[in-house]
This record gives sequence, structure tokens and C-alpha cells, in this order.
Amino acid sequence: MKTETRNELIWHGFLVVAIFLTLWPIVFMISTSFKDLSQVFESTLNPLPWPITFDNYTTVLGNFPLFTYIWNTFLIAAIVTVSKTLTSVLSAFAFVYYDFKYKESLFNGMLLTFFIPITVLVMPNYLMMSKLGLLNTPWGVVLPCLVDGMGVFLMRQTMRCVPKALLEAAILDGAKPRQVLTKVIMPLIKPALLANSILFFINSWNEYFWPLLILQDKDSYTLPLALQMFISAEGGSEWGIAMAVATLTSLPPLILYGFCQKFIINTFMSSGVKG
Amino acid sequence: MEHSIVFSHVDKAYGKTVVIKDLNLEIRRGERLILLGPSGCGKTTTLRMMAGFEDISAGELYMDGKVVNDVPPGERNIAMVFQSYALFPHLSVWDNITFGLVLQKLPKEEIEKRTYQALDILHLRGQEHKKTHELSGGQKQRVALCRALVKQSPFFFLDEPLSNLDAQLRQKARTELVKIHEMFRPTMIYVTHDQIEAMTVADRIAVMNKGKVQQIDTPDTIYHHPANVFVATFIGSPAMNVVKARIEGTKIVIGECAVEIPAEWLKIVGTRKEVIFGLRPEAAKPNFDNAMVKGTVDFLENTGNLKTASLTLSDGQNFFIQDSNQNIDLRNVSGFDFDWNNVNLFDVETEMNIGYVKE
Amino acid sequence: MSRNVKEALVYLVPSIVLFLVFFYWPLIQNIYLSFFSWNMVSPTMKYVGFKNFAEILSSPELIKIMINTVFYVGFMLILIFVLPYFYSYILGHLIKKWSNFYRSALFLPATLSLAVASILFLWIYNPLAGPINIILSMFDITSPRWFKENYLVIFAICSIVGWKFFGYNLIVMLAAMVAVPKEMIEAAKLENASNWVIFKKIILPMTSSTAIYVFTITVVFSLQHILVPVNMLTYGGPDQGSSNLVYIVYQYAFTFFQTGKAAAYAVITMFVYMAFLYVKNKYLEKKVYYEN
Repeated sequence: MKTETRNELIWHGFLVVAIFLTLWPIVFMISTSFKDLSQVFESTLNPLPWPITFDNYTTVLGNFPLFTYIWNTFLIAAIVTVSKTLTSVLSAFAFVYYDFKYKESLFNGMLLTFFIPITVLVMPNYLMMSKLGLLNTPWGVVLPCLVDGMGVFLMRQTMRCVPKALLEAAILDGAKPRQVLTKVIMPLIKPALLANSILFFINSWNEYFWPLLILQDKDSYTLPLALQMFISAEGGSEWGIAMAVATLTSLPPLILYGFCQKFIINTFMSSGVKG
Repeated sequence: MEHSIVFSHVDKAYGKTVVIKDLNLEIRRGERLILLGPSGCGKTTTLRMMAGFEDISAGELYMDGKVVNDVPPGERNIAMVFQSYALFPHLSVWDNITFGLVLQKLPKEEIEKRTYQALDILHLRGQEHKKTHELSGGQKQRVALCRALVKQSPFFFLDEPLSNLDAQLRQKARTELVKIHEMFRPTMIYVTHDQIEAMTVADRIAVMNKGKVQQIDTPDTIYHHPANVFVATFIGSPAMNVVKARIEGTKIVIGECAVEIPAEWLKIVGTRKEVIFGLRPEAAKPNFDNAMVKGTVDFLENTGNLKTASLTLSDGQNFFIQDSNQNIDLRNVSGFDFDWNNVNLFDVETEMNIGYVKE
Repeated sequence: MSRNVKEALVYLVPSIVLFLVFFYWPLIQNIYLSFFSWNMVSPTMKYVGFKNFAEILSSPELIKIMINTVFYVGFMLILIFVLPYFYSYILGHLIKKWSNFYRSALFLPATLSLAVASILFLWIYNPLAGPINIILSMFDITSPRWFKENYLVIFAICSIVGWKFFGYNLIVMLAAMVAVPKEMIEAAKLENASNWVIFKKIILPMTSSTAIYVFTITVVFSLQHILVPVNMLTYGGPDQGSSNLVYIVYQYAFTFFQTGKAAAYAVITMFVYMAFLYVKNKYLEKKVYYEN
């Protein structure tokens, strides 16, 4: 048994290395955001700056419409989340509850959109948004992101796990399809539903590429886009300020993840199992 | 109209696989009909067709005189107890029981009256605020019954409702079920693979196999006069002995032992040269020196109240005999005697019961 | 269940419409655009047939892009396919304690924005004052200019994307690892099988379907994720040294305003993806063990 514990220690060693590489950049980002300019360059590696300074944050708040960025990001993420959740739940319900010709093909058609390379879609979608006059508006960002093929897939997987007998019991009691969905299925899949919505929200909050194309006007920026203003590729950047914005951008996902970590991990664990 | 549910030439197929072929079944109003059969025999499919969960591929299904082939389940006015109970885990006992009544928008007083009555009948008073996962298996089963009861439907379906209970609870639940049925007398259709349940609960049993009803009759008739070899060997434990026997003149040869056939049986046998001889183990009386049919003992089993011996007849066929007399030692048995009143004869080709002499 | 198609459609119509308008229509539109020469703003489009494709296929640029793409995919596979696979085995079967803590912590970067990760690593890799430079100089090594050297830039960018997605793939793989019945492994241990033999004979075949899934999403999505750091940090440079099959579409469309060529590149990308998925289905799936 003794060699077994020694072996286990080696494995823990591997994991500690991975944990360090994973977490250190985050710690580094947060600590840098509390350093003044001299600390940034003189005690770069020190994870616990002293004295800590809030100058970076006050500078950002004073010179940039940060709250506008936060609101823009939130608005887009909120609409996307609600819509993706709704469309996923409704179509997944149809796939689970009803039986019709070409059901599998329709489902595959939805799932397949997940694999269409984004570059194939961006240009035509950009042209469409431009034609509709939606450039520089949240709607331009939101419209092509109202459905999610993976979301439909995950919701269907989850709903399939509700025992059929429960649905039948409700049907026998005279429940209409709508009531089967709202009174039986939805309450039973609440944790997975919540986890999915949180992931939709986090992903939309973090999205950089598509908003970059649509939002060119600085006032319409989201947080990830605003980040770009604080760096220059040549290196002469205000690192403290950049890290402060990075930290602020990361805060909502980190908080959401902190609270719902168990839900999220479980949903992810189940998404890998193909059905 | 005397029949409450009628199957008329009903077929059920999934794609090209035919599960049920030309099913004809008439279920009487208020009776307890048990659908009994091995797994895969089509009994659950039959029940689910009545509930409306399975389409009917061909033929008509009548309920209360009307064709219901295309009536959705929710409009058939059925109360059902599922094998898994199908209790809603997110609802309390009370909300589970009243689920359908609330959907029907019944007045509050009526809902409460019915629910309290049902809770009382099933001794669940005081449990109504619990969540279903706090209940024991037996309580869950009773909540499921309660939910069916409050609907006061003319049709009461049960799909293996006791199979998740342990043996002792099962017996209690069985009696409870019959008692409740006697109170309200809905048409009760009960699917099971457990023959003891079938024998004790049923007014009539429909024994099914391979998508066909093999026999539909009272438990007594089914036990003593099975319609065919399948029913004979499906009911009873150990099942009815069925052995091939030759007819030689006025004698039947069972395991090389010739036995005189009584006159009334000769008429039934007719010109057959061979028959299948059926006899329940408990109808085979052990004989220790000069048995009608001789055999040697393979092994013995004692279940306390019964002693069972497996005999090998002289032609190699097996035969079980059973006796409740604890003072005899079956080890030395030489064979068995039988009374023609207990005999069933089956045709070799069709395996159908060729008739019996009424006592 | 219910066969009422009309009712089912009520639930499906919003999704169907959105998928058609924002996924399938652009797909067709994109193919259409690839036959034209256009600058996105001019009112007239000129039909050029297969000229865009011909130009691309005969340009040395394509070769460079393809080589870069292969490097990207290679690095990404090591970082977020092979490594997470190995780590998920450790987490699922080789350690007894703290595995919940490890998996929660390792997943953390997956919740952050790639934009955040990019800017963060730009600072970490900064060749003058960044922390890696400081650590390297402790060993008297001069830090290379991570984002300015050919191939090194690809590695640097992959490390950013890898940092973010390592935990994500780890969790998906871990799900498959823990689904391998413990009894099976215990039975093997009774036969004195080593961890390596257990991995090869039990874990590998039992987790292969999920592994293929992760392999697929790694190949398909890595290139798309790479768009973010490339666009924020290098703009495809140095001298197209960090561009790839996906980024080049963006460059042609939104930097050079050559819509037709961008669309043609997108069509080529799609064919490459389709070829990949086809090969995957044909050769990999056959060797996979599926539970049902």
C-alpha cells in the first residue's frame, strides 16, 4: 500500500503544476490591476502588491464610459441568453414530445449549424445587418445569436432523461402539451436549464469576434472590445489599467461560476456523453 | 351495453414487426381483468393501446360503446397506476394527487373532499405535505393509487403496480387493491407477469403470449382447465406436467406404463394415436409400491408446507409430484397415481386442450 | 408520443426560421459571393466565375496558410486534447482526494473571455518587462519576441487558447473517464495490471467515443478561437506568420475588402472541414466503442 500512496503523490504533483499554470495568470491579472506603474515594472512577480492602489480603476472610470460598456455587454448577453434558452427549450420539447416524419433530419440540421465555421457566416450576416441598418446597435450583434444548435442538442439530452411515465401520467390527467412542458418537464430540468442559461450568458458576455464587426462606434462597444483600447501591440501599454479592465470584464463570469460551479460542471460532464 | 371495452380485430405493428395480431377481447363493465403473460407477450402494449399511448394499426377499439382509436389519452377519462408510479418528484404528495383535478379546474371544495377521502382510504392522512422522495416504496405505491382514485374514472388501469414492492408488502397491497375496487367498481385492467397476483386479484384472467390471447376465463378455470399447453405450463409453480403419451387401444401409455382410459374420455380422445397428457403436480398422488405411472426420484425440494419431487419416467420424461403431507418420505416413491377428474389432454399438433369431463 | 405535426411545428418554427435565416441562408449567400469580385461597398458586383478560387489555389500564400493551419492544429491537439486526456485519467482514476477541487479550479479559465486571455498573455509574454522575461533572465536567457517570430508566434497564440480551453475539454473527458465502471478497473487490478495496461486496455477503448468528440471539436473550433488573439495581438503577422485558414477570411473581408476572395477562402475552409469530418467518420468512428 505504501508505494500506492507514493504514486498518488506523484499524480498530485502533476495536478499542482496544472493548477499553478491555470490559476497563476488570473492571480497575476488581478494583482497587477492593484499595482501602480512603478510596482508593475519593479515587483512584477509579486502577487501581493503593497500598498495596493485603486488608481487604475479610478483612471478607467474617470476617462472611459465604462458603465456604458458594461450596460452594452449586459444587454446583449441578456437578450441572447433569454432567446437561446427559449428556442432551445421549445425545439427540444418538440423533439422529445412529438413524433413526426423527418424529425431526426430536422434535428441533425439544427445540430449541424454548430459545426459551420464562423467565417462562412460572418460576411453574409454582416452584410445583412448592414442592409438592415443595424450596425453599431446591440440588435445587430444579437440577431444572428438568437439560436444555438448545441443548446438544442443539450436540452434534448436533458429532457430525454425525464421518465416517459411522468409525461404519460400528466397526459392521462388531461395536461395539454404546453402544460406537460411547463408543469412537468421544466421544473424537473431546472438545474440543467439554469446551468445552460448561465453558460449562454457567460459566452455571450465574453464574445469578441462578432461584436467587433458590428460595433465600430466606440460608444456601442462591449467590454471585450473595449479591452483593445488599452493595449498597443508594440508593448508600451499601461499594464495596470489594462489589467483593471480585464479584471472587471472577468468579474461577472467568475462570480456566476463561483456560485453555480456545481451546476455548470455537471452540465459539462453530461454534454460529453453522446446520445 | 354490457361490455365496457372491446377490441375488435386489433393489430399493432411497429414498422414491419407485428406485435399484436387480430386481437379480440371483450372486457365487462366493473370487472377486474388481469392481462397475464411473459415479458414481451404484448400485455403492456394492449394496455397502452387502451390508454391511448400506442396507435392502433388496424381494427377498432371501443370504450363505452364508442370507437376511441383517435381519441387522445387525456380525453379517455382513464385513471392509471404506473409500474414506476410516475409520481412527480418536484411536487408534494397533495399536489401529486390533485394534479389532474386542478387541470380539470374542479371546484376547490370538491378537490379537497375527494383527496381527503382517498387519503383516508389509503391511510395516507398526515403524509400529504411530504415530498415524494421522503416516502417509502409502499407509501409511493399508495400515493399513486390515491392519484388514480380521486379521478373517479370509469376505467382504472394498472401496469405492474406491485412489481417494485417486496414480497410481504405486495400481499398486503393486493388485498387493499381488491378492497378499493369493490368500493367503486370501475372497470379495472391490470397487467402483470406474476401469476399469484393474477390468481388472487382477478375476476377474469386473459393469458397472453406472442401477441395473442391464449385464454380468457376465471382464475379457477384457467388453473384447472388450461386451454392449451402454453397456459398449462405458464400457470402454477411448478407448472402443470405435460408429457407425451401414446394411445394403444383403450389404454394410454405414459412413460411406458399403460393405464386404462375411462369410456367418457375415449370419446374425447377419438382416433388420436398420441396425445399430450397434463396433470398438476399436486394431483399426482405419490405411491410407494404399485404406482399407475412409475418413475424414479431425481431430486427433492421441501418448502416447509409442501414437498416436491422430480421423477424421471421410464421413457426419460420428467414429472413433478407434490404433496403436503409432512410425514411421508418422497425419496422412496415408486411413481404416482392420478384421478381422471384432474386430467387435461392436449392435441399433439395444435397443443389445444381437447376437452375435459365436467364433474 | 403525439403525432400532431402542426402542434410540433408551433414549438419548432422560431428555431427553424432563425437557423434558416442566420445559418443556412448565409451559407448559400457565401457561395454566391465567391463567384464575384466586389469590395463590399460598391453598388456593382462583377461576376468572375471561378477566378477567385483559381487565384487562391495558385498563390504561394495558400501554402503558407495551410502550413500555419497544420501547426496550429498540431499545437492545439497537444495542449487541449492529449494533455486533458492524460489529466482526466489522473483525476478520474489515479487520485482519491481533492478531485472536485482540482476540476473546479482547472475549469476556471474556461469562463473567461478570450479577449481577456489575449491581453493578459500579451503582458505575460512581453519580451521587455513581462514576467516570463523576468523568469528567463534569472537563468540568463534572453526572452524571444514571442509574437514576432515565425512559428514561435503560433505556439504563443496556441498557449493562450489552450489556457482557456484546457479545463473545458478536461471536464468533458472526465465525464467519460468516470463513466468507466470502477469494477472493471478493480477486476483488472486483481490481475495485477499496471496503470498503463489499465489505461491501454480499458480506459482507451471505453472512452474512445468521447475522445473522438473532443478531438473533433478541438480541430474544428481551435482555428475559430484563434481568431481572437490573432486579431488582437498580431493581425496575422509577422508577414502572415500567424494567419490561418480561418483568419485569412476575416482579413480578406474586413481588412482588404476583397469580398469575393474572402468568400472563396470561406468555401475552401468549409470543404476542408467537410473533408475532415468525412475522414473522421469513415476511419475513426469505426474503431470506436459505443456503449449503445
